Amino acid sequence: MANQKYDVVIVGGSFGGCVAGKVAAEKGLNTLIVERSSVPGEKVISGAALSTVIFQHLPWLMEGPVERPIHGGWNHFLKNGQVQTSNLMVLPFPGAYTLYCRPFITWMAEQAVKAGAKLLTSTVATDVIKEKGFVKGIVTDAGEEIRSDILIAADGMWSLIGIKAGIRKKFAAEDIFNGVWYDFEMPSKEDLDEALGGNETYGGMSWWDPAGEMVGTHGVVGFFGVAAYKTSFHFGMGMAMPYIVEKRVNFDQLYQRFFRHDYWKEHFGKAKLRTRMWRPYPLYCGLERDMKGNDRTTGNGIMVIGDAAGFEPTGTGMGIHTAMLSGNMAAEVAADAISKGDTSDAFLKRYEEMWKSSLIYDAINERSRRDLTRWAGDEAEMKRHILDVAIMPGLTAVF
Amino acid sequence: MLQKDKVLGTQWVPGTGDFIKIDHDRCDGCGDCVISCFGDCIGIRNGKAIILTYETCQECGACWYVCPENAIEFSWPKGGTGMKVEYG
Repeated sequence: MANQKYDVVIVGGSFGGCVAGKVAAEKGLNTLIVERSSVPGEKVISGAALSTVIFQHLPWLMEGPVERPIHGGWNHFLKNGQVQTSNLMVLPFPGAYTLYCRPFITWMAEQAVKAGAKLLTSTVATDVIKEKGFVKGIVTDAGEEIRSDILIAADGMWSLIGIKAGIRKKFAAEDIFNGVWYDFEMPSKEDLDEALGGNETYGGMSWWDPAGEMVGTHGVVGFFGVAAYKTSFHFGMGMAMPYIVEKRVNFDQLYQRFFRHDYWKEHFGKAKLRTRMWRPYPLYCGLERDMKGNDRTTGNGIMVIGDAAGFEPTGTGMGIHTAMLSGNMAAEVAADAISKGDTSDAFLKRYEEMWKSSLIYDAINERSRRDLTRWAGDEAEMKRHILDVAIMPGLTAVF
Repeated sequence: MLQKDKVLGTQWVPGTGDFIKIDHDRCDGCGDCVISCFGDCIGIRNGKAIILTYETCQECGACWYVCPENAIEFSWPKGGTGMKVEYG
């Protein structure tokens, strides 16, 4: 692998990177995906739901290993120790499919390799090579240089490569949500279906705590989410990072309070805890105009996609979709740039024009998002906005 | 919580190297990183934050984000090492 040269090098073999790799390879580009884990997907947590919207853009994803078709879900509101429920969304056809990230990403990486991309696992890109103002490749943790005409940074919300390249900035702590996910297994699919309200296509549940009875709101929305798979489910809870620090939030204690609730015991009492995992994600970073000054997604010889570019549509649960769509766009622009022999920032701005005129921008701009923290403590208002968010296109039973 | 319960269901491959570095000239021992770490990987000793273990680190970068003194340098564990999860 030492001192090799590729048309396109993609840092990060997850949802966005694998799409970029597959599409770039299909366009005849000599493509390399560099992934830090030994198997793509093995470091990704939290599960996912893919809206069927994505299949219109990338139909090949329909072949991937999904778990459960989702026609609808529930919103649960806690009040005075009681649980009030309302439909999140009910469709006559599946609006989304839930999936475990690990097998799905492993499968996606296989599709990229089948299309002709090379995959280099167990390798960290530690730095970028810069020459005459252009990004010309990466340096790996093995000390090797891998050169590229175009580098696509698909390295997640941390965007260490985007930062090294000088076009991204670290998100501020107040732009970060952190949460703990539990993975539970039920004895059977029937048990899980029953717990989901007797409906096998109700795969998602949002738990809202507008009065702060379970977790306390105090400026952040108290929020739990359940996503259902075949016989198992994820239960996740997250809060804004500064709040976690300020209030010394202990998620496990909060979960224990929840598990003592009669509703949990009645519906999920048979659940067996398999995994405890956590991961932060950006929160509302795109809510304000110009992405809080962190809006660059291109440079000379580099494009940034997905979470690394701040394409994080809080509330609609479409972060994976925006990662995949931006990966697709970046690969298309890379092919154009290489065929024209122009990898300058000015040329790659086509990528920015593309995502700004696509549903990526629709999903992340301030018009289509709800900063629920704004209504913390105002139960009626928060409820109204939660229900409002829940009928937005794209939100299909994902928490 | 027992150490193994913290990372129930995840595996950890050793050989990560020191991928989180704390600059003790900048660290003022405020402890925000300690609170932010769900793996209890960081402690305070002699008024400065130190890494206690990487074995329960899930590479989330919370410490890097919350440090008000910008004293934490975050990078990735050596390729192929660190945490892995099956039901992620």
